[in-house]
Amino acid sequence: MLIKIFLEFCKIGVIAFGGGNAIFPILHREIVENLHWISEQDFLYMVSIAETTPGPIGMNLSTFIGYRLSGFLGAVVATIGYDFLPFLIMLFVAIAVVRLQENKIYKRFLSAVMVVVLVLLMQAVYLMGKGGFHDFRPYVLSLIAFIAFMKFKKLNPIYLLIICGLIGMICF
Amino acid sequence: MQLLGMKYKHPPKIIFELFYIFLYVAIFTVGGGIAMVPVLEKVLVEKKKFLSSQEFTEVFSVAQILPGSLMINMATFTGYRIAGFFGALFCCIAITIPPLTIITLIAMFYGRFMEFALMRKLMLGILAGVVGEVSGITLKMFKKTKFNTFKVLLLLCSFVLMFFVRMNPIYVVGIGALLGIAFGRED
Repeated sequence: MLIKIFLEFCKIGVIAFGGGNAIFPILHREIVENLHWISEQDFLYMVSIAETTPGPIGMNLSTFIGYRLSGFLGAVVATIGYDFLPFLIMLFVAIAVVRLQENKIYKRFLSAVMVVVLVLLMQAVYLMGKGGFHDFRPYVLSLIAFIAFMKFKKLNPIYLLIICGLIGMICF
Repeated sequence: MQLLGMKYKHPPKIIFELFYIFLYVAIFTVGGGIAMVPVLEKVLVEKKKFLSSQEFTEVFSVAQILPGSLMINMATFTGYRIAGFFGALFCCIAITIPPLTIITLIAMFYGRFMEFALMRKLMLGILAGVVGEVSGITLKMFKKTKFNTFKVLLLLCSFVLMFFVRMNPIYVVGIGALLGIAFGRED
C-alpha cells in the first residue's frame, strides 16, 4: 500500500502545474474517481482544511490523504512522493541553467517568459481574491497590505501577514 | 565543489540559514505557493543579498513554468543556486516539515479543528495580506522589466489569452517562450 501511495503521488506531483488550485481537479479525478481511495465528501472536507491551513495546498492535501490511507507513515510517504519528481526535474534544470547562463537562446527565452510570468502573477492575485473573499472587507485589508508592503521597505512581510491575520480575527 | 554549483564558500552555515528561512516561510504560505514569493524576495534579495533581483526573477520564472508545485520548485532552485545540491535538498525538507506536522495533527484530531471559526478568520486575514503583497511584488517586477515593443505586445496577448480566452497557462507560457526565442532580444 505504501508503495502504491508513493507512486500515485509521484505521478500527481508531476502533473500538478502551477500548484495551488490547479491541483484539486487532478487529485479529485485520480483519488476519488479512479482509485476510490476516499469519498467525495471527505475530499471536499480535506480541501476546505488544506485551503485554510498554512503550507502549500497541494502538499497539505497529499499529507492529509496519505494520513487517511495509512496513518503517519502514509502521510510521510505521500508528501515525499509529491515532492520527489519535481525536486529531481528542478535539480536537473537548475544544473543546466547554471551552465546556460550566457547562452543567447536561453536569454531570449527567459526575457519572454519573465513577461508572461507577470500575467501569471496577476492571475494568481485575481484567483485568490475571487476564491477566498466573500465581502468587501478582505479587499480593503488587501489594499492596506499592498500600500504597507510598498511603502515600508524595512517591514518584514511575515510580520505584515501576522498583523493582517490578527486584523482578520477581529474584523471579519 | 564547482560541479555542485555553489555560489558561496561556506555552505554549511548558509545551508542552515536557508533551512531556517524556508521553514518559517512555509508556515506562512497561505493560499498556495505564490504567497512565499514576496517574503522570499525580501529576505533573500534585500536582507541577505543571497541573490540579485534579476536572479530572483529568473528563479521564480523558471520555477513557475516547470511541472510540480511552485513551492518545491522555488525551494529546489533557490537552494541549488545559493548552496548547491545540499542547499536544494535541505530547502525542500524545510518546506515539507510544517505542512506535514500541521496536517498530521489536524488529521489526528479529525473534526474538532473546523469548529474554530477564529482560525478561519485568521487565515482569511493572512490571505488578504498575501493578496496585497503579491500585488506589490507584481508591481515591483513590472517596474524592473525593460519593456520594448515585443514585450508590450507579448504582455497584452498573454493577458487576453489568460483572462478572456481562459487558455491553460502552460500553453501561454509555451507560446510566449517560442515567440521569445524567435523574435525576442536578450537583455
